[in-house]
This record gives sequence, C-alpha cells and structure tokens, in this order.
Amino acid sequence: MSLELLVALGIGVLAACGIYLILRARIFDVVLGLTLLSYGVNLFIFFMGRLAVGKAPIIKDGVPLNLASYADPLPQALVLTAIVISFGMTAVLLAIAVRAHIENGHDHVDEDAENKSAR
Amino acid sequence: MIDFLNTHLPILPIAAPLFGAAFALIVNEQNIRTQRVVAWIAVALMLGAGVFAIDRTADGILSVYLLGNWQAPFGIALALDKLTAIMLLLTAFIAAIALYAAQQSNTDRGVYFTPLFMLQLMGINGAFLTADLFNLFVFFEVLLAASYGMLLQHCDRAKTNAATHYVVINLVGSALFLIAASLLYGVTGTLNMADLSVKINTLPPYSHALALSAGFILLTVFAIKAALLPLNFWLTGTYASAVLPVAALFALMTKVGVVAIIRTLTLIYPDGSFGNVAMSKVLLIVAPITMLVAACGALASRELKTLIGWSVVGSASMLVTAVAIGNAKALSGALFYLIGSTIAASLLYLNASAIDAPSSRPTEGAANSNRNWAWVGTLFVIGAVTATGLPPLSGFIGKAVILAGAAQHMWPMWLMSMVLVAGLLNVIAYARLGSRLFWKRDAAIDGATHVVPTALLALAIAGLTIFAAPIQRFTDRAAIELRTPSIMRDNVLGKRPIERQTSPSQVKP
Repeated sequence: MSLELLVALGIGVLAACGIYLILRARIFDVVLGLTLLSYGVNLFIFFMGRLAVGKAPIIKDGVPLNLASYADPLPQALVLTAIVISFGMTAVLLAIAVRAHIENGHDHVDEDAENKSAR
Repeated sequence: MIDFLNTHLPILPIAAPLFGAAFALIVNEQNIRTQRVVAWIAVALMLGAGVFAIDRTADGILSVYLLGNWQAPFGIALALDKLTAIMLLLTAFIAAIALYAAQQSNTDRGVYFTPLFMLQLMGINGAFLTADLFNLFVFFEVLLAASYGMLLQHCDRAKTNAATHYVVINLVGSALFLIAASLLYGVTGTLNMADLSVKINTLPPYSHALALSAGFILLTVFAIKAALLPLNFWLTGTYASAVLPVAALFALMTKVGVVAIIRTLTLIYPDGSFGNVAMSKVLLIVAPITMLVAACGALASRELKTLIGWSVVGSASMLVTAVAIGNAKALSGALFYLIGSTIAASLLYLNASAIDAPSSRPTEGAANSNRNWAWVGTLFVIGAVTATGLPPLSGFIGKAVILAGAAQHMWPMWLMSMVLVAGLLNVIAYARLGSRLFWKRDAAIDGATHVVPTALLALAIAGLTIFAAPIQRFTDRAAIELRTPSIMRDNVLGKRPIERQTSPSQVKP
C-alpha cells in the first residue's frame, strides 16, 4: 500500500510542477514544464502495468508460468516509445524556442501581449 | 499479383510515403527533379491504393493486416474499412493537389520539404488505418513532427511564434493521450480498439469511473486535433502562417481528429456501452457552441486566411456534432460533408495564395488582370458556397442529410437552430469579405498562381455534387458499418496469422 501511495504522490507532484511551469508562459519554463509532465506521464504508463517487486518481465526457467509471477512487459515497451518521442519533441521545441528568442528578443510565449503595449 | 496486392493493400499507404521520404532524403534538395519524381511515385501509389481500397471495401470486404504476423490483441493490427478507404482516397487526392501546387510555386525547394511532406502523409494514412490505440498515438506524433517542420518552412518572426504555440499545445495533447491510453490499458488490459470494444462492456463496476475518465481524456486529445471550443485558438494563427500549399494539406489534419472521435464513439465506446451517452451529450453541447463561435470568428476576420481558418474550425465542429448525434443518417451525412468541406478548405487556401500576394507588383494590363480576377473570384465562390453549405453544391447536400439526422435526435431544436444560425453567419462573413475583395478590389492579384490545381479541386467538388447519389450510397453503407462494431471486432480479432512454411533450408541442422 505504501509503495502505491509513494508512486502516486510522485507522479502527482511531477505533473503539478509541470503544469505550473507550462502556465508560466516563459519559453524556458514551458520546456521544463513539458519535460516534468512527460516524466510524470512516463511513470504513469510504467505503473499502469501494476507495481511488481522483484519480478522479471521475461519468462525464466524455474519460475512458474502464470501472470502473478511476472511483471507486465507491455507498459515497459510503451514507456520506451514514449520516452523516445518526448525526448525528440523536446529537442524540436528547444530549437524553435531558441529561434523565437532570437527573433523576438525576449522569451515570452505570447509576443503579441508585450508588443502591442510597446507600439 | 492481385492476390499479393489484396493481402498487403493496408500497408501500402504507409509504406509508399515512408520509402518516398527515405529516397527524397538520400537525393536531397540539390537534385530537385529526382525528388519530385520520387514524390510523385509515392503519391501515385497512394492514389492507386485509395481507389483499390474503395473498390475492395465496396464489395463488403474489411481487410485486416497483422503487423509482424502477430495475432490481433497481442500485436498491432491495421484495419481497412469503408471510412478508412474514403479517408485514404481523400488524403491521396489532396496530397496530389498540394504537391502540384508546391512544385508550381517552388515551395518544395524549402529545407527538407519533400521528405517532411511524405512523412506527414505517412502519419495521416497511418492514423486512419491503425486499429491500435498506442499505434494511433505514434502515428499522431509522426504527422505532428512532420507538420512542425512544414510549418517552419520559410520561417519568419510571426511563423516562429505561431509554431511555438502549436508545438506546445500538441505536446500537452500527447501527454494527455498517453495518460488516456495507459489508463485504458490498466483497466482493460488491451490497446487494440476492437478488443477494447469487447472488454469495455464486461468491466466490473468499480473500474467504470476510471474507464469513463480515460474516455473523456481521449476525447479532449482528439478535440485539440479537431479544434473544438476551448481548445481551438491555436488553429487560425497556425494555418494562416503556414505556406499556402502546406495549409491546403493541413486542412486534412482536423479531419484526423474527427475520424479519431468517430472511432472513439463507434468502436472503443460503442453505442450502448456505459460511456457513450455521457460523451455524446458533452460533445453535443460543446460542438454546436464551437460552430457558433467559429461563425463569429469568421465574421470578425479581416483577412482571407483567418476567415478560412475559422471555417475549417466550423466544419470540423459540424462534423463532430453529426458524429455525436450518432444515428446512421447523421454519420452518413458527416462522411459526405467531410469530403466536400476538406476539398473546399484546400481550394480556398490555394486560391488565397493568388489574392494575398504582395500588392507592390504592377499589374500587367487591364484585360489580363480582369481575366485573372474572374478566375480567382469564380473559384472563391465555388469554395465559399461549398464551405458554407449553400445549394447547389455538395456542402448543402451533406448539411441537409446531417439536419435530417438531427431531426431524429432527442434535441432537434438546439442542434438545428445552431447549425442554421452558424450557417447564416458564415454566409454573411464570406459574402462581406468576398465583395470587399472582388468588387472593391481591396487586394492585389498575383497572376493567378495556382489556377490549375485550384480548378482541379473545384472540378472535384462538381463531381461530388453530380455523383452525389452513388457517393451517398457508399457513405450510407459506411455509416451502417460504423454503427455495427461487431463487424470490426469479428474481422480484427478473427484474423489468423499467416502460417509460416518451413523451407527445407531452415529444417537442416
């Protein structure tokens, strides 16, 4: 029970921090926020295969062939895909962020809001 | 040969653009002529596969393709039903037109344009074909990643900012998609949509709340793609800042969201399962309001590209309304309206490239200029009439069938009044901007750049109107197929892997 609670709290904290940072609307904070959110999501996917301590996802000799003796391998495969995709997307977003910073001269996500008051 | 093609048909629309992208990367932009040939071969294969798919599904065959020869709930399956066949052919057609326009205006000399174009087509086709929820996520990412690159073609300051918003909202959407997919896996133990459709009805009561929240998160993700109300503010800016042949292709992307919503409401949570009614009701409130807001946005837009963006939002919410009504009539009308409105949006975007061109260029002679104005104006009217659903073109037919479906629903007054009011506002918006552009000539025209591809789109709309009866018969059957999820379940879950023949060389020790 305590392990489940710990994991759930961890995911919750990661997601909450991520959402807070995304809503800050500064491009660097947004990137960090998305990274934290994707960490939370990755953990969530991983633990949707249920928590299992000391069990392998691959069939081993000497271990009885039933579901209770093994960890679910599918979420581990899914999380691998999700990690790769979120890593690639973060790289793309960083490239765009650098570009936006050079073009705008500031790091606010909504350039209109500041520009209109300046004009 | 035909036998081989029948077996491997579902993978062709994914494989052709994938290999096209690979070859286009190898030959790179220096060798633009080879790149163009490669792109055309891939698009021609997609067109062929689309026609073949329509032909095959019209015979009532639902092809299932098991990737890696793994049996259905364990491996990833592709399913080719009538809805997918329609979408594949539509994608191939729009892609051909967009490719033609891009080559005509030399947009395809941009950085990695052809490979990105091909990868985006691969993502769109894959999202239509797949019967696996996680695979759908992967194909969404493929098409989005390619669209980021396409959006940043010829990028300047406004484009970079629009792209930032677009990328961020889609990354948040991806995170939500992963949460929904893994939640559904945690509850049901499967990710195959056909299998989900079976398991969702046999859930123990204590997991109903989790499955329902997974369904709503899934709808939120697809609502971002289909640009439903609180989640649609990214669209107009993004599409307006895309290079116009690219925007013509982007008109397809909201439809990916709509098709995903169709799959959610007809397959994952089929009619009669516990989540369906609640989700449909929420959509029936949100989508008509989106329609009205989109019409107001259209009224408020001063630029043609913004106006078209809002009418893309409007037509997507119209489709979602029809899907959420859910009866066979509304679904069939939605499929018909989907074809026409996608073609119309692409037409308007391509046509806008002639109107919005820089006014600094001196016009060459009154007669020539007048003829160009007449061409561009006529094409604009054809697109506008289809997009707003006025008679006599195909938009009207689709809308009329959707209204007939709405009449059978329990909220006929709400749905019909919203559809009609939004339609009226859209007509006013188009009429006002059109008369300002074409009668007061409040714009310059740039030698009618994309007349040929735009006219081909207009011909397609004419064809859609003239052959409305046979096409409507096909969409009727597609709607009945969608309303009977057992067809999909039996075909996908009943598909057996191909028996491996052990060749003598493998038997040898």
